[in-house]
Amino acid sequence: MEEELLTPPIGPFFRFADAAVGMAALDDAGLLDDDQNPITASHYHALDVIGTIPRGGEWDEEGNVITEPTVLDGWHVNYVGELPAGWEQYAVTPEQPYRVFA
Amino acid sequence: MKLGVTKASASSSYNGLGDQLYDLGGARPTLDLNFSSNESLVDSVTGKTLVDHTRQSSATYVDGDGVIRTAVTNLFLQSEDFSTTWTKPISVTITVNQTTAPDGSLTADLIEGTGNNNFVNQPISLVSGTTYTISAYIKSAGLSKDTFRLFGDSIQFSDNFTATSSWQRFEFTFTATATGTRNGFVTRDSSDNPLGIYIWGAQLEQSSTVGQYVKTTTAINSAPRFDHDPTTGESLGLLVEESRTNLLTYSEDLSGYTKNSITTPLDSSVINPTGSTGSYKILADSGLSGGDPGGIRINQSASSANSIVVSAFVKKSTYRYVYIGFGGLGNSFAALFDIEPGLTSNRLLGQGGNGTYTNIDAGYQNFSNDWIRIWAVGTTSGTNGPTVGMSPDSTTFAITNWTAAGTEEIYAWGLQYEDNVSFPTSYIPTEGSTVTRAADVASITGTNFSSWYNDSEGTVFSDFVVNGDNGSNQFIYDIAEGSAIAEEIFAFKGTSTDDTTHTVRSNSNIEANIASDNQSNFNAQIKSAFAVSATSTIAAVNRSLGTLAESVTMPTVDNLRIGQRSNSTFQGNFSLSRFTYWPTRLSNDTLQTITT
Repeated sequence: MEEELLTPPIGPFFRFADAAVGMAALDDAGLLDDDQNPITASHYHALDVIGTIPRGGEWDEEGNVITEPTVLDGWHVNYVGELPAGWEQYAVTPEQPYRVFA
Repeated sequence: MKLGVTKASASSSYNGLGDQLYDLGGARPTLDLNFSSNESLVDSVTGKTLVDHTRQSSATYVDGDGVIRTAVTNLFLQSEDFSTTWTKPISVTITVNQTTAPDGSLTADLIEGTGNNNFVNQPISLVSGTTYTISAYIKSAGLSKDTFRLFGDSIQFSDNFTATSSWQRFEFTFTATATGTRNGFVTRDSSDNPLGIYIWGAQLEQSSTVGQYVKTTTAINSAPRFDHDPTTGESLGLLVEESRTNLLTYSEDLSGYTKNSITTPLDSSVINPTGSTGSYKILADSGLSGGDPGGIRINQSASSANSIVVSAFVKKSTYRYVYIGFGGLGNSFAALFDIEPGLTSNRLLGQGGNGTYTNIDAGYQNFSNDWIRIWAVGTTSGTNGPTVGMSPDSTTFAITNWTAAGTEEIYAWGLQYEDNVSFPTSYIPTEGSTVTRAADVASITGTNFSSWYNDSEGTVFSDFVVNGDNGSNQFIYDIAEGSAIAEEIFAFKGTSTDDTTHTVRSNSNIEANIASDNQSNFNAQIKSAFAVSATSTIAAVNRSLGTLAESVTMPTVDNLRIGQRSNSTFQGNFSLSRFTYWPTRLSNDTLQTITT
């Protein structure tokens, strides 16, 4: 048993190519309401739409950009619950997650 | 978070129905979720837990001693169904629902093995150095295979346990030796004898002690929170909150913040708001502060075009005038507080700012041990981000440079930055990442619902405080058919100063839509009674009656949702002290009486 090969649980971090792909995946999974807003909670899931993840950047006190931030690839969501069909391909395992569930 | 609420109490003689509300209502209800009194989901009428509550993340609340606590979170999935998700060898057979579980339901499974390699486990994500506790209710199956061990981290085992003819909760605490995915739960004894036990309620929690059991299915689940006023200890009932994120990556460790003419020494002995020890301090440098970003404060750079809420727990060390805000010397908003212990006057001294800003709101709550949670809401073009600092006096409300003696010092702990919102929610600890607290969802379905609900008439009483305006309708409850919104009886608190609205819908038509008469403020107690029948539907809020609807097609419903609409929209943020249902349409006089 100690040497058993494990399959790590999938999620909660998912990355889509862009917002359009991500929103389409949420829609397919029934995670958008009638107004196309994400349904963030039910008895069976929790969804946190992060979107793009910026890194760095510097601004002065007037809000002027001194150094442009970089943006990580993709459009990101955190999700827990039964895995929607096809979402395995979107799962990522960041070493230092930008955001986690409490 | 509820501020300054004074609860009204109805006065009445005791008429023998067993509860003052029942007496006022003139009859015993068929459902009474007295959350503030019971501090549980148990229905006072039946003594059973009819409510399913879920929240797929941990969360904090205030206990009766005014201390911040973290709700128990069960990290195992399918805690009562070992036929799915769990891993076992071929030598183990799992038969579901074989005997009555400790909660009275027929949901306990039989685990029976042969040979010498029996186990049932689940892959779990562990963090090195973190302590976890595994637990389960286990009983002998009368198969003379009663010895077993619990295990975690794949390689750490409990001593042998022996199941008896009574349900016992067994537990095993371990500290993870590595970060990653490992196995854990129940396995054969140290002599490799086969398993043969009844089992129910598996739980893995990040704790050195075992906590209350929390059922899970397809996702982790965290216990419902029964909140308290941190100042008075008053029980406020079930805390329901929307999903929120603390955008500060370190809420308690101030060492990584930008320091402006200050240092941040750690006091490892001071009692912090969780009742444990340790908090950073903000100690002013001597002399005139200056430079960029200026002031005497900490900050963490960020910018936002939205409404911003910043909050923190602060406590006087040597200095009393503390501000919290967002931005810096150029552009910022701030609110200034007097944190002198024992102060009985208003601690909020004023709000101000620099450059481009608006002040939207500010407030505070007193906690135990002279801690005070302060918060400010505003907008600004400032890019210095959330900030906590010291002001030279009681009248300087904006971030400014000033000359300090070098002895001015405060404690600061539990910093929180919530974006695109207008009021603070419960504290969300962070340690290296931004952290999201999931929303609370509660419902009653199936026979747990039909056992108390009357299709032809009824009266719903609810006693609640809505904790802030989230810019949307906030559903207190929705009695509906499945997750559809065609057949409904619901009440929601509207935005701004809008009323609490009570609605009946049938076949997607609005049959009745009854608004209270401006009796519904945020952060104030609201008592609502909604009496529904085909010929007489009306609502009362805080004694004020709405307009009667004389012809209503009664909806066909099968479940109750608390804190959301049935289609999982319109999430609420409130403390629900009590939810009670009578299967009759109570009189108008009675509705006014019970909502007084």
